[in-house]
This record gives sequence, structure tokens and C-alpha cells, in this order.
Amino acid sequence: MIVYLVKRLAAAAAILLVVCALTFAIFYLAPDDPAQKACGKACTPERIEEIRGQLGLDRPVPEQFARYLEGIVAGRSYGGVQCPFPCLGFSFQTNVPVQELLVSRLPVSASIAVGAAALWLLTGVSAGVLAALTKGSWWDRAAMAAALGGISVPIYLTALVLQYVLVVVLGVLPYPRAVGLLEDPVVWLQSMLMPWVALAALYAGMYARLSRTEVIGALGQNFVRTARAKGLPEATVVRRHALRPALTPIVTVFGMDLGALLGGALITESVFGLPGVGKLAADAINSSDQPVIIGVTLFAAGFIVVANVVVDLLYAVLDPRIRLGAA
Amino acid sequence: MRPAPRATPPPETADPETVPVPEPARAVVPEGKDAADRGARGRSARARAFAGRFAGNRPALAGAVVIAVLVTMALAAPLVTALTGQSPYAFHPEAVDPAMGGLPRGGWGGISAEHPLGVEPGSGRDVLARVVWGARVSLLISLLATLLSTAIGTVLGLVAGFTGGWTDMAIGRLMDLLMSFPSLIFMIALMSVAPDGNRELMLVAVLGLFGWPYVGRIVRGQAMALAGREFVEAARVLGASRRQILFREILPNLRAPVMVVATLSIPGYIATEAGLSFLGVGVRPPTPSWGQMIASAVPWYAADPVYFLVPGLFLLAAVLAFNLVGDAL
Repeated sequence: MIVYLVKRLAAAAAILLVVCALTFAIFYLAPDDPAQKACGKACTPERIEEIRGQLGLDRPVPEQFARYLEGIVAGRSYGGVQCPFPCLGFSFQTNVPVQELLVSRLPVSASIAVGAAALWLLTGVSAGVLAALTKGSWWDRAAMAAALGGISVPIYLTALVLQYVLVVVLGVLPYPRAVGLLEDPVVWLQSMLMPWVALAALYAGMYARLSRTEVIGALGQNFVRTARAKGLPEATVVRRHALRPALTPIVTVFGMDLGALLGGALITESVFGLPGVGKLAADAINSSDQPVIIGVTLFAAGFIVVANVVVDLLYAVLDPRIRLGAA
Repeated sequence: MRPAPRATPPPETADPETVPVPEPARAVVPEGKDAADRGARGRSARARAFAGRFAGNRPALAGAVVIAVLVTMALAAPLVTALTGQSPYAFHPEAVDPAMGGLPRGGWGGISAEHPLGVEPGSGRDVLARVVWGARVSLLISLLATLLSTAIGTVLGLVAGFTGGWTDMAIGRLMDLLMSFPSLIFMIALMSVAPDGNRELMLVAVLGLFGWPYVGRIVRGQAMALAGREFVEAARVLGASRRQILFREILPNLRAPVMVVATLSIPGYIATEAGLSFLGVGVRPPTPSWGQMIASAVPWYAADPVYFLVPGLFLLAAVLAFNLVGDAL
């Protein structure tokens, strides 16, 4: 188990290293010059050269990359400005270390992700399980039609329609604002409601379809037949023998989806104007703030990779048929 | 978040990873006339079974009809704009009201006999013309991306699953890596530094690059299962080369699962292309694509919802139609 965990973490670190290298490479092949960006509009060629020297941009790319990695594990300085551990770069446009930006944006993304996840898990899985148990009924067909509709509507359409109907036409909700949960719980809830519903509509459809498939599959297994043959009540058969194996793949997908969302719901945050990690990425892309883009990519990849590891471990806990030592 | 709605195959058609694999379509040994006849009959039976699955499935049939209409519309885009006499690029300042900040005259997004789907606020460009030309861009990009990702995924998955060992590990790791990328952010980053050349081709390349592992994973699993089957063994004993076994024995058996994955990936690419264009890194104006039109509708959506709904509904129809058909396969 411990050996497996160590191996898994090493693989995760390797993936992050490659993601980091690729992101880095892309931006150093890019036409934009970060020194030019840092210097601003009124800038002399001498000043640009000076900045390039300060930032180490005149060094070979591998050396710059090594210094970037060094910054992550030990912190570094950018032309005299300290960027403490774990330094993910320095945004010259805002004069803030990238990790500070990320940390300040994370609560918004986390609020969106966790709330939406709770909503879609509850609605999607229960609708899917119910559909599987009543396979062929009108409920099954209606739920599956709704699920297909849900996964087919692009998120920005859902988001904009929600905002148009609820805010512009009906006026039952205000435009979302970035308010902390503790600052003003009511406004926080009002602001989060639309992003939650928009995201949940998309994901609940996928989860309903997935859980329906899995439950139907599990109900056809031999161990379910055995349980029924033993004379167990149907409710017990479903709860203890069918749901448990059926939920394992759902946990897997859920872990990865939640991990991905914590790294920023780019489109949702942009449409609702909520300043989360995704909005940070979108804004950085619009203003070509390369250090921020690299930082967000790495940050989001980190969440995905960690979620993968967590999911693999959970798998072993949930499914008694899986033993990790052999893997 | 994920780049596109992932469609989980419905239970009736079974998971693509476990689709029952038909017997080899063709053997390496030269077939007699008898065998060829049997092959032909087998194929028509399969075609009938295929049609039968559709006939009983009204939603899938509706999806197929919608796809046919959209594709015809895209192909006939020059014809449509010739008939209405509207160019997708021509400005119509007389159709918008500068006193109202450039909102289309007459309400309802400026729908009139001349502009059946209204005009773009601000510029007054004809929405119908932009939607049909946008269909071309959106559908072409997603189809090409599907072809690209399916081709790469099939070949690499086949090689990985059949060869095993070191090759399998290398390809497997590459797929793991690509799948654990925050692909949307990365696609955006890549597109944002991409040179302003052919944005459409860039989109195809980027979508294909991040899409092929999903095909490759399934093909790899199937190829591994098939590699141990008797008919492969038989072909090997008969002296078939590796290439012959891969492409003439194993590949034909993968047609069904590959078709399903490919069909289900089209709506994903349509939505992702629209998403990237929506975020401003995909197709750039004045070239119309559905996502780009929706993006340009955002500043106006409260005052002119029609302009936002028209491309939105086309996009929704396309994604839904491909999902319906993919589900039925």
C-alpha cells in the first residue's frame, strides 16, 4: 500500500513536471516578449535589455526553466522583488506573485465547484438510480431525455439564459457578486445559485446516465442473483449489493470532475463575472499575462493529478474486489 | 471543467469498451467464391440491423434528420446567401438604430422579410447569412477534428494494444499525460499564442491533439482482447505479417466501437470549438462561427436576446442531434 502510494505520487509529480515544461515551452516560443510587457508602453530598448537581464530572460531557456522549478520549491526573486515559496511566477502586469493571485481567487472557485458538485451529485445520481430501478417506465424515459438535454446544452448558453430570465426579465436574483460566505451569506447564496444550477445541469445529465448504466449493469450480476436467491428483501439487495459496485465508477468520475472544477470553471466564471481562478485565467489570456497563464495551468493540472491519486485510493476502499498492491 | 459534455453510452448499446466483437470480416487466406458470397450477405444483414436499430428509435431518426438539414445548409451556404441576397460580411447601418446604441430597428432582433433571422446589433450584418456560413466553419472544424483524433487514436491504440511491452507503456503514458492536462486552459493558452494564420486549422490540430487519447484508450483495450483470439493466431500461423494482422484482421473488428466513439465525439468538438471561439481564442471575427456569434452577442444579450438565441439554438440543435444519433449506434 505504502509502496503503491509512493509510486503513484512519483508518477503524479512526473506528470506535473511535463505539464510545466510544455507550458513553459509554449510561452517561450510565443511572439510576446515578457520584458516588453513588464516595461509598459513608453519604453526604451535599453530599458528592455535591462529588464531582460534582471528577469533572467537573456539566459538559455533550460536555465530559465530550472530557475522556475527552483522558485517553486524554494522561492526566488524577480529583479529584486521577492517571490516566496512556492513561487509560481510573478505577474509583472499586477506586480503580485502568481501564487498570491491564485490563493485570493481560490475561495470563489471552490464555492462554485463544491456547491455545484453537491447539487449535481444529489440530483444526477438519484435520478439515474431511480431510472435504473424503474427501467422502461415513463420516469426512466423522462429522466434520460432530460439528461441528454442537459449534456447537450453548452454551459454558456445555460448560464446566459439563466441570467437573462432570472436577473433581466424576472428580477428575482441580482447580478452575481464576489462576496465571501462569511461576509454576507445571503448575497453569497444569491450570487452562487446561478453558477451552481448552470454547472449542475450539465454534470447532472452525465451522472444520471452513468449511474443508470452502472446500476442496471450491477443488477444483472451473479452476486445480485445470489443475494436475491438467499431471500434478502429487494431493498437490501439494491442497497447493499447493487449500489455499492455501481457507485465506484461514479466516485472516480466525480473525483476527477471536482478536481478539474477546483482549478477554475473558466466559462462559468467568465459569464457570471465571478473572480475565481477561471476568470483569472481568462483575464490573463486576454492581457497576455504569461506568468499567470503558466501558473494557472500548473495549478489546475495539480488539482487534476491529485484528484486522480485520491480517486485511485478511494477505489480500493470502496470496492473490495480491488487490491492495490498488485497494481 | 471538461472541454465538452461527455456522452456516456446508454446501457442498451453497452459501453464501447465492452461492445461484442464480431468475427473477422476477412481472412488472409484467399477466399473462394462461396466465402465471398457469404461475406456479402453478412454485410447486408448488418446494414439491415443497423437500419432496424434506427427505425425503432424515433429520437435518433429525428437527430439524423436534423444533422442532414444542418449539413445541407452548410454545404448550400453560398446558395442560401445568393437567394437571400445577403452577404455574411456586409454591413447594414440602415437596419440598426444608432440612437438606441446600435440595436436592430423594429425589435425582435431586427427580424424582417429582408433579414429572416434578424441582424447583428451594431453592424447590421445579416444573421441568417452568418449562421449558415458559421455552420460551415463549426461543422467542418468538428468533423476534421474527429477524423484527426480518430485516426491518431486508432493507429496508436492498435499499435499499443497489439504490440504490448515497451511500446504499449510509452503510448499509454502519453495518453495518461494528455488526459490529465487541464485541456481547456491549455487549449486556450495554445490558441492565444498561436500565430494569426489559419485559425480554423489550428483549432482542428489542437482539438485532435487533446481528443485522440479517448479513442486510443478504447481501441487499445479492444486490440489487446483481440490479439489473443484464435483467428489472429490462425493468421499468424499462416504466415501473415504484423501489418497484415493489424490492419486486415484486427482493424475491421474495431469498426463498431470506433464508429460509436467518433460519432459521440463530434458534438463534443462542436461545443468545444464554440467554447473556444466564445472565449475569444477560436475563430476570429469577421469569420462567423456559432461560438463566435454567441460571444459577440454577450454584450447585447439583455437588450437583444434574439441575436443570442439564434446561433445558440443552432448550436444546441447540432449537439443534441449528434448525441441522439451517437446514442443509438
